[in-house]
Amino acid sequence: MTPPLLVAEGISKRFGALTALTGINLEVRAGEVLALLGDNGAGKSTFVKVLAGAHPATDGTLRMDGVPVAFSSPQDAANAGIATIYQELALSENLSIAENVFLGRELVWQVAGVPFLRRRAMQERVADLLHELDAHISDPDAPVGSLSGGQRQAVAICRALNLNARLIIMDEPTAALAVAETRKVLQLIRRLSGRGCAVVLISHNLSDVFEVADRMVVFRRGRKVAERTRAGTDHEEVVSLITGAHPDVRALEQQQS
Amino acid sequence: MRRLNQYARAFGRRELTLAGASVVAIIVFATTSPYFATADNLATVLRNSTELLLVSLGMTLLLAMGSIDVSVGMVLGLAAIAVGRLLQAEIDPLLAALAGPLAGAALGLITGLVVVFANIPAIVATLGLLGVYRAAIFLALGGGWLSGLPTGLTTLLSSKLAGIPVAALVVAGAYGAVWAALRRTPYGPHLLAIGQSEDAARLAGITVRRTRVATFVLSGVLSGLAATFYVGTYRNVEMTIGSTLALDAIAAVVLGGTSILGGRCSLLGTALGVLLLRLLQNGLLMSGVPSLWQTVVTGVLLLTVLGLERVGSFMPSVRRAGRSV
Amino acid sequence: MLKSLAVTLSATTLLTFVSGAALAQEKRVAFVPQIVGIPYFNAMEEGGKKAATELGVKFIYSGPVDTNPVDQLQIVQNLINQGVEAVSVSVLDASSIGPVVEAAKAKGVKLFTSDSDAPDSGRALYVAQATDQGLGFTIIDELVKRVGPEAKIGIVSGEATASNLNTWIQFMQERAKSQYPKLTLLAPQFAGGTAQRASQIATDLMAANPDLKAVIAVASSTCPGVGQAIETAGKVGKVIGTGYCSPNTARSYIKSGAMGFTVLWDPGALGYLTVWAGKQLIDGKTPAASNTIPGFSKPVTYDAKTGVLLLGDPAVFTAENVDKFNF
Ligand SMILES: Nc1ncnc2c1ncn2[C@@H]1O[C@H](COP(=O)(O)OP(=O)(O)OP(=O)(O)O)[C@@H](O)[C@H]1O
Ligand SMILES: [Mg+2]
Repeated sequence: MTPPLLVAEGISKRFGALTALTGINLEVRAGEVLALLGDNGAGKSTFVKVLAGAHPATDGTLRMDGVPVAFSSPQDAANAGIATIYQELALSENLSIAENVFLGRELVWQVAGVPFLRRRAMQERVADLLHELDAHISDPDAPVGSLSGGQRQAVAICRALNLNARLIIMDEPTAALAVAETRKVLQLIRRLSGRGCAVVLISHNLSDVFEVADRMVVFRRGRKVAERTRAGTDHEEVVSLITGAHPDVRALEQQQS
Repeated sequence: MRRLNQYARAFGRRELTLAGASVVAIIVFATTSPYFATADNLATVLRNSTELLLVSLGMTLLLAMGSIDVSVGMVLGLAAIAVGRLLQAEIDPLLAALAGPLAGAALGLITGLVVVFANIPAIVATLGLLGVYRAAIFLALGGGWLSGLPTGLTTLLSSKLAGIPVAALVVAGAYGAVWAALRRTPYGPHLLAIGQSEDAARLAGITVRRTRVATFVLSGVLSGLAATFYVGTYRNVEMTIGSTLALDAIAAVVLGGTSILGGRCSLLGTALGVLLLRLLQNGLLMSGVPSLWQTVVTGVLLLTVLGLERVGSFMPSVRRAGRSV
Repeated sequence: MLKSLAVTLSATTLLTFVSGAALAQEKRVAFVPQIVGIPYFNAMEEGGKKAATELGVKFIYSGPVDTNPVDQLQIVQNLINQGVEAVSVSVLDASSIGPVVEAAKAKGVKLFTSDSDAPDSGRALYVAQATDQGLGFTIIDELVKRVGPEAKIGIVSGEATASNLNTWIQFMQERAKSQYPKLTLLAPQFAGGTAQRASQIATDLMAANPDLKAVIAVASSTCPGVGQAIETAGKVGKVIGTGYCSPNTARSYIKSGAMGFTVLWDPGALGYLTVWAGKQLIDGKTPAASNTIPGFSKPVTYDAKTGVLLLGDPAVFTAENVDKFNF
């Protein structure tokens, strides 16, 4: 059996005196959609930022394809095939779609050591990606600031796709979206996993989660308190896991305190 | 449609406003002073704009990046001392001319490293450096002035190539090169992304610190180039050199539509901003308006344009036109 | 840090000076400039030294390394503590000098001002370089000699808020009105501190007034700009530049003809007069209403009421004499 795409072992993260994550163990497999659930402040965003190389872990190891990796920057993680769409959408509003999609990884050709943008090539690639995503954007040169929330989400996903990422992390991608646009993003997530890409999805909307996720992991106060497959659980149980009302969680928290 | 849109970006609403204001100013002054609208006088306005055009170009990049440098005048001063001392030592004027941008680059590097690695807000850090550089100017001049410098550099810089003044070629070359860097290389999107949000730029994988330091160096080079022209034109370096330069440059850049909050810039706007400021200074003086009112007019102009933008920003077209370089 | 170090250093040098001098039983006159190391005060120091050898006193020259009033006061205080017989100061902050004047009186030290005054401080006297009136009148008189009494003249000043510059301009206007009614003085233009702006203004004035005959640079920082503008505009010989410019600043413009002359005073003579005044005070004398001093072409006047010892008429620097000065 091939090793999981990504394994996190004993990941902890402290911000000064505040412990945001404690001993997280977790696996992500190729082609699956894994949902991270938990209350506000549970540590979900912090965890994915560790995966994305935005924060170094205080403790613990990450392995990709069984090999230990250490990301010192988002660039490192991107080079390893991890793309992240952050909760606070990291797009530059004044840049065009193509500039955003390629930001930090522009296609260039060198003339006497000076990197010149291959603008045509980048525009074509972005047009392809948008087409693939079935996203309708009339003016591809428009600054991202003039796009709707769903269109921006599509741009962010384009950016992730463009990295040829093997793992795409989405932190609350549908939080700001209307019903139709949410549907589109969920379809996208399915299409990504269909292509063999692993997706880690953070969402507070359980019906969305139940629609696309293969597995769910629940965080509480910086700890992983439960892991379920979609078939092996239901709405109610997940809610009780998140709120801490579930007997397993109470037992666990009793032990710890 | 597409082409029109592109055009609108290069020549947006602000640029049109400034060009219009310049035309109005020229017409008004032409009626108030018979000597204003003469080729000689307008050429003088252009020649007098050289240093401010160069310094403002660097300032445009810094503001677009969400930074600022209030010490550019002192950078110009120190670079001018370097050029002046070499001229005094009877060095070849061409080499002395190069000393300006070189010294500017070195000072820009110092400024950039202090701002970026000490992680102090640029306005505070450069305010501190302003004091340090000013003291350095004082020490380097020893309380005296460099004056009556040899004329070699003056001859060099006031010469013409193919009928075009060297100063005009250098300014056009600098603007062209920076325009190309912004529009044709990754530097442009990186700069604007940093100006928009440094964190987002970092998450996108941009080497934020390197880009920021490089931009300070570039601004230093441009201030140093301005120093070369300063020395070439005035053949002296006085103790108060560059004292109002940073403010003039910031005014011109903001007037030109570059956002003081970063993320947006207009090179054409900056050039038009400088020219409008200089036109006003020249025209008001020629029309016999007392000095005090000249500064009032400039101040009111700045406030008016910025105020108009506030009103205008509720209209979508302004946002669209915003990111021209 | 650096500054306090420098103060300590200058205080130490002072100590060695002073103790050496005390042993020799020689009377001492000190001069504390606003700042050390600049050509203007260097020239005063030279004049002071010359006077000291000729008059047989010991000259002490010590001042702050930048124009910091607190450092200056500290240096003055040190000199008083050492019992230096006469101490002169080019005052940086007139409002804070009072206490050291008291301290000097208590110690029997003659404290007086030179170059820059503190009129209400109780100082023994003030050695003045020139009167504002003298400066204002002289520049107009000298100009009229060169361009005639009906010329049009532009004025380029520095900061609009600088009261000394504005006073000089007022005296120029007064002189023109009373003596040369056909002279046209244009409204003063203010260039701030930079040569660049001064040059622009001078250029614009010449363009706007083709019949302009002269441009006056009121602030010293505007001198090079005015000179340069006249050269660049090709108006040498048609427009005369002038102003309150030191010989070093104006030398190349005076030689090119862009500046016909400049008006200021001779800091060397001022330094000489300062030491002379110190010697008088040490000897228990007050200057007479008119004093003949070796090396001075005209007698030096003293106004007992205001306590002002006046150097004399301003000096006029021209192509003939400019090379004799270095400040
Ligand atoms: N950069 C930081 N510095 C200090 N504390 C931080 C930082 N980032 C997150 N935290 C803290 O870590 C804890 C976990 O935050 P995190 O953003 O991971 O929560 P979350 O599960 O994503 O919540 P939400 O559902 O509201 O997005 C919070 O207490 C937060 O205040
Ligand atoms: Mg979060």
